[in-house]
Amino acid sequence: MLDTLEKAVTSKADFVEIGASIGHMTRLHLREKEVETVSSGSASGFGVRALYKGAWGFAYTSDEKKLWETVERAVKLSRASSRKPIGASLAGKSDARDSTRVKVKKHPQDFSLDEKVKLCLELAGDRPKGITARDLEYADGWGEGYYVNSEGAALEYFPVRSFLAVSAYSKKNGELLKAKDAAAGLKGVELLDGKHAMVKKVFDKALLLQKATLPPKGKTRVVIDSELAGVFAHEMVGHAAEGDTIANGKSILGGKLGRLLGSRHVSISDDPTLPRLFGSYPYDAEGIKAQKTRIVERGRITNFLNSRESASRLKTESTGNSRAESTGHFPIVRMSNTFFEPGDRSDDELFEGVNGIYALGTKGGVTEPHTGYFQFAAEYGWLVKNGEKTKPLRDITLVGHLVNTLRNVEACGKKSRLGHPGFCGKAGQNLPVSDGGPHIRIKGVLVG
Amino acid sequence: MIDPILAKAAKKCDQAELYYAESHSLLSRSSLDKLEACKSAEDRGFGLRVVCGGRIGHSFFSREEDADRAISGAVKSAKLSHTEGYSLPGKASYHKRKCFDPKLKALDEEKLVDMVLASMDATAESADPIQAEVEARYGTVEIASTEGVYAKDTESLFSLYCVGKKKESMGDESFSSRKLTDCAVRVGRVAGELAEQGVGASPVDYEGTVTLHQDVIGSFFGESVVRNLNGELARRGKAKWADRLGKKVTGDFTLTDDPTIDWGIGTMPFDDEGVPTTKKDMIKNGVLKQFYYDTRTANLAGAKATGNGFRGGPVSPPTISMTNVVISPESRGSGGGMFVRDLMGYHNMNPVTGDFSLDITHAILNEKPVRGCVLTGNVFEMLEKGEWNGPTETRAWLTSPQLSFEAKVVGK
Repeated sequence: MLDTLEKAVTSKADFVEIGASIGHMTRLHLREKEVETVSSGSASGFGVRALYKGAWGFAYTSDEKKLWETVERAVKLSRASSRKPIGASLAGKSDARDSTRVKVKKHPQDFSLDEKVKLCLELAGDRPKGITARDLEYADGWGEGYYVNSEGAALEYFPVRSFLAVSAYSKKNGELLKAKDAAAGLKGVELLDGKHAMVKKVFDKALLLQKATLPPKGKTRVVIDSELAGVFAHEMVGHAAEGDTIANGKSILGGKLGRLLGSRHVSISDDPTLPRLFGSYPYDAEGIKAQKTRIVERGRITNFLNSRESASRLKTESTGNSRAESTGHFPIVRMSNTFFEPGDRSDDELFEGVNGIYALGTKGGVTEPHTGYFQFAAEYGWLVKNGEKTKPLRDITLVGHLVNTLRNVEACGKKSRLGHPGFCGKAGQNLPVSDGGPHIRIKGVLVG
Repeated sequence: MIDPILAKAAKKCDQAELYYAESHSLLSRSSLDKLEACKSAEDRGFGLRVVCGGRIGHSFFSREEDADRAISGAVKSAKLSHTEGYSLPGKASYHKRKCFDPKLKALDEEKLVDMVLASMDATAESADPIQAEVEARYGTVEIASTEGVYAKDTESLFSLYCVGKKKESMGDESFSSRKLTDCAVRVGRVAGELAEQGVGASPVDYEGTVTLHQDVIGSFFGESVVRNLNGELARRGKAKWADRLGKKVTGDFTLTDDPTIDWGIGTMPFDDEGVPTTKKDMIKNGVLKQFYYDTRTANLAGAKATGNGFRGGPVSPPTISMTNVVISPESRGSGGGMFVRDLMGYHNMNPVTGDFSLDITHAILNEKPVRGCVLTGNVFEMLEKGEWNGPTETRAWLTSPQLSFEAKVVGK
């Protein structure tokens, strides 16, 4: 495939790159102990990006026979944009030649649909008393990815990914209460091994929610768990630190490199090189080798996340954060595995003397990068009195502003948990990512 | 092209259905006040469903040479499925409505670039242009089954999105239709005006009438109301209105699902299972009349499919979705109070209880801009006690007046 793609690279533009993929996927959905849907299939695609006089053209086809005309089309489109070009260029050089294969213990290709269904049914187990419904979703995928460009890069990648999500429901006074958890990574069917504990934990959470009450509203001291800390790192800081968002004037962090953003306890990184996590990759979508980037170090903004393109606009280097959902999507700056770095406090020290809320898990979060206002929802939590968990809580919404909140970070735990998986959406593209961190204590958080 | 694959599949199962979709898109995008990129995409793919002993299986593929493997995969899927007693829908005839504009097919990148430049210039009248994006799409869906279904239709979609910024304030505006529309200047101008309007916004504490813009109503409906009309969620007890069929669930308005509106973005003659789409009242004068169903969930519920089975493309089996939603109130009020143009964090609301606590990102109170405070309330109380008012506008899939209700806003 690489030979074919390299031959198709044209010199009719200032820069040309071609991405190609062939993917295979299985998805199954259990409701209770019944298989509701099983679906499998394959898809292929070819995406071409061309740069001409400071503007881009991009063309995609799912038909390999149209590869050459798709290259020509991308070049033609770049010429249309060059009427009033943004002056796009690429920082550095991308000429790596490499082949990377994700090695897994149990390749999905070696397991039949029957075997995967059997494993999932066994994992779903029996429904405990008090649980009114439960869902289990499993998906795996594997394939071939290729990248070539006019600077000489030629890369092959053979990824394997799997994903498991479990949901359980309970009821209180007719109101439906939901608990969930997920696991995912660059793994095969072995992802399912030993996940009984995760399923049980979801059941336990759904039952705990029956006893939970709404939190007291107002500003309070909050301890967040590693999952919610990951959402803070990703949603609150990560998106605002994306180089294209900054170059487009859409981020509150624009022009603030080197400035203090939070307290000395705040260190946040993005690292696609972490082994087997959901957001990991060996090379980004512009052929740049993946690397760890420290976004915030001891409260100070040290780096933004960049593609070659955004790096050029910001006059810096790529951090290897160019990603695309598929070969049919334009590569843009994205996060990978984003997390708070651990601190120096034990769990006991974090909770010592706290009167406030212990917030765990996530039901989602959103931040406006240009203003810094955010809203996050925890899955559940505890009212904390004198450092002790007292009453369970639900529907905990945390709202605020990123600068005020990061300045109010008082302490981070020693223990860190990474790899909480998710799909991050940006510009219509959903990509596998993960996040995490230690437990974190923050004062003066508004609970809505 | 699809007949030989369908014939091959039919030999391996009791029933088979082949869904074929091909799409073409062309897009031009600016960044700040310059052109960033033009993009085109041609995509095609197949979705195969088979029924074996009343059980349904699904697979997908993009290359004809993968058809045999897909057939085998779909048959294996069906044998593993526990959903029994299913039968694919039968032959039907379909209505004709306007959902394909050949002018969109004829557009080239130069014309899209013209529109982007016009939008940017219009935004620049009152703010800094941040982004303008124009996209023209068209595509054909073809469905054939062993049960006599043959459905083929070509649809188009035109969309435009603009963002402007003035000081710390950003404003955005969008438009979408199945028809090419001369709206680049208007959309660009509104984005700039909204950015200008938000300059100097601050949080407030407020208790009183709040009036919601149609975009906000659309987000509330998308996150909560339509979900509670989903027949499958109702069957599983996951919808608030699960046991309220024939009973009053909202104030006096009618909610109609209408796939027959000329040029509506949800307009189509058949759904992705080849079931004819129809105009139907889901809520009539506040009374719940029916739930949405695709054929699989209708079979499980003992109900009739409503023509609302749609796919995210060949890779996905059909699931329940609305088409165009039209709100027709019995009476209208006067509105007023705080006008809310944009909120943030809809996915954090509880879709079943309807409780919400959302950040206001763009609102106007006494002619002053408001942001950075929290609007709290309950969607179902809002629908029961709220007053519809102002002009009826179509915004994407929703046609609705504005909605006012009594609410509390908490500053920070």
